[in-house]
Amino acid sequence: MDNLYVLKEQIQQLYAKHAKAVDKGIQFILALLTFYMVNHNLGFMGLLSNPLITLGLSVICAFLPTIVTVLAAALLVVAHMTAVSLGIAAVTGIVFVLMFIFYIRFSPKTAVVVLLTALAFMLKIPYVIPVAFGLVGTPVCVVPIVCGTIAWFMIEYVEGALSSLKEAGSEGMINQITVYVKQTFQNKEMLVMILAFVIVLLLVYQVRRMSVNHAWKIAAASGAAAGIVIVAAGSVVLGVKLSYVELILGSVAAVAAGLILEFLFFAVDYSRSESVQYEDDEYYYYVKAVPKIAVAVPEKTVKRINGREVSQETEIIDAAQIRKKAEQADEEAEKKPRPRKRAPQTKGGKISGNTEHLLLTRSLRRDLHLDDEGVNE
Amino acid sequence: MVDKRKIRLMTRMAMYEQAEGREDLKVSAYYRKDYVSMKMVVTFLWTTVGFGFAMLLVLAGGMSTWMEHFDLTFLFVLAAAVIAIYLALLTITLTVTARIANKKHRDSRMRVKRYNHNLLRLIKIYERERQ
Repeated sequence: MDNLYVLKEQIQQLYAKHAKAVDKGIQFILALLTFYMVNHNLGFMGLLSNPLITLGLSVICAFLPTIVTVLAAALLVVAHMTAVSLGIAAVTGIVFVLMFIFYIRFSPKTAVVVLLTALAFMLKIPYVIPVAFGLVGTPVCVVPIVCGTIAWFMIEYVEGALSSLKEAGSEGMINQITVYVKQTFQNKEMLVMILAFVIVLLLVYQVRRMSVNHAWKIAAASGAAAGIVIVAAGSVVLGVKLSYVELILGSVAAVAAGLILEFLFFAVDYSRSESVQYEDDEYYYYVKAVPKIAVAVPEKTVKRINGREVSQETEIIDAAQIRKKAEQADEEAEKKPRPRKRAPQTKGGKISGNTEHLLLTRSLRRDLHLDDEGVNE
Repeated sequence: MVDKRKIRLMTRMAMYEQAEGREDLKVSAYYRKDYVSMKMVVTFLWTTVGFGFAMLLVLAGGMSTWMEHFDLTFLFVLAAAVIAIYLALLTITLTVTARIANKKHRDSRMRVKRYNHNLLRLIKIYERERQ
C-alpha cells in the first residue's frame, strides 16, 4: 500500500511539473471521445463524421475552455440530426438551449459533467457518474447529470428509430416531432435512470459527509447498492427491459471508481483518528480529527567521490579586466623563451591510474576536511 | 539589485490578473445593486425565452391531447396553469440569480481589494527606491 501512496505522490509531482500539458491532453482526449461518441451514434452527415474533422475539432477544443467542447458537441448533434429531419433537429436544439438557459449559464464549469454522463452511457458504465460526483461533487451536480442523461436518450432514440423517422419524410414532420418529444420525455427507462441517479448521488453525498470511519467506502458501496435496487425495482414496476448483467457490472465499476477516488482525494489513516470534546460559553464541541496519509517520496542521491565542484552562483566577469590580463600574459610570454615540448608519455595506464588515485585522495581530504585543518594550522 | 519582495508581489498580481482578475475587475466596476439588477434583468429575459421554448415542446408533445379536449374552460385552465408555472419559474430563477450575483460581487470585491492593497504596496516600494 505504501508503494501506491509513493506512486501517487510521484504522479502528483509529475502533474505539478507538467500541469498545463496534462490538462490540455485530458481536454483533448475528452473532446475526441465526445465527438467520436456523437459521430459513432449519429454519423448521418458524412462530412462531419470524417476522422480528420473530428481530430481537428478536438485539437481546437483542447486549447479553449471546456464549455466550448460542450457547445461544439451540442452543435454537432444538432447538425447530424438535420440530416434526418429538420423538426427533430429543432426540438433537439430547443432542449439544448433550455439546458443552457436554466443551468449551464449559471455554472459553466460543471458543464463538463453533461459530457461525462453521456460518455459513461456510451461506455456502459453510467452508474459510475452519480457515485463519483456524490463523492467529489455537490448535490448541484444532479442537474448536469440529468441533462446528460436526457441528451444520451435523445441520441439513442434517433439512432434506433432512424428508418421510421426517414420514412415519415417532411410531410409527417409535425407527427415526427410529436412522437420524438413523447418518446424522449416519456421514456420509462430514462425516467428510471434519472430517479436512480438523483437518489444515488444525494445518498452518496450524505454518507460521505458523515463522521463514521471509512465514510467514502461506505458511501460508494451504499450508492451502488441503492442504484441496483432502484433500477431493478423501477424496471419491474414500469415494465422496462434492462440488462441486469450490465447493471451489476456497472455498479461494481462504480464501487471501484469510488475506491480510486478515495485513494486520490481522501487518503486518511483512520487508525490514528482522535476524538476531542470541549466547550465554550455557547456550545459543546465533539471533534473527530483524522490524520491524512502523507508519504514522502524517497529521493535518490548520487554522491560523486571524484566529481568536480560546480559553483551554483553565477559569476559576473568583467570583460575589460580579462582583456587586460590577457594582454599582460601575452607580453610575458613574448619576454620568456618558449620551453621545449616534452615527448608524450607512453605509460598511459600508469599515469591514468595515478591521476585517479590523486583525485580520490584529494576528494577524500576535502570530504574529511583535512585541507581546512591544514590551512587552519 | 533584484528586490525579492517586489518580484513576489508582482508575480502574485500578474497571476491574479491573468486568472480571475479580468472578470473580477469588470464585476467590481459596478455597484452591488446595479450588478445584481443587471443580472436579474438578463435572467428575466432568458427565462422568458426558455419558458417559451419549453411551452413549444409541451405543445408539440401533447398536440393530439390538446386538440381532443379543446374548449373554452380547458383553455382558461390551461392559461392559468401556464401563467402560474411561468411565475413560479421566474421566482425560482430570479432568486437563484440574485444569490449567485450577490456572492459573486462580494467575492470579486474582496479579491480586488486584496489586489489594490498589493498595488499600493508595490507603489510604496517604487517610491522608496526612487528616494
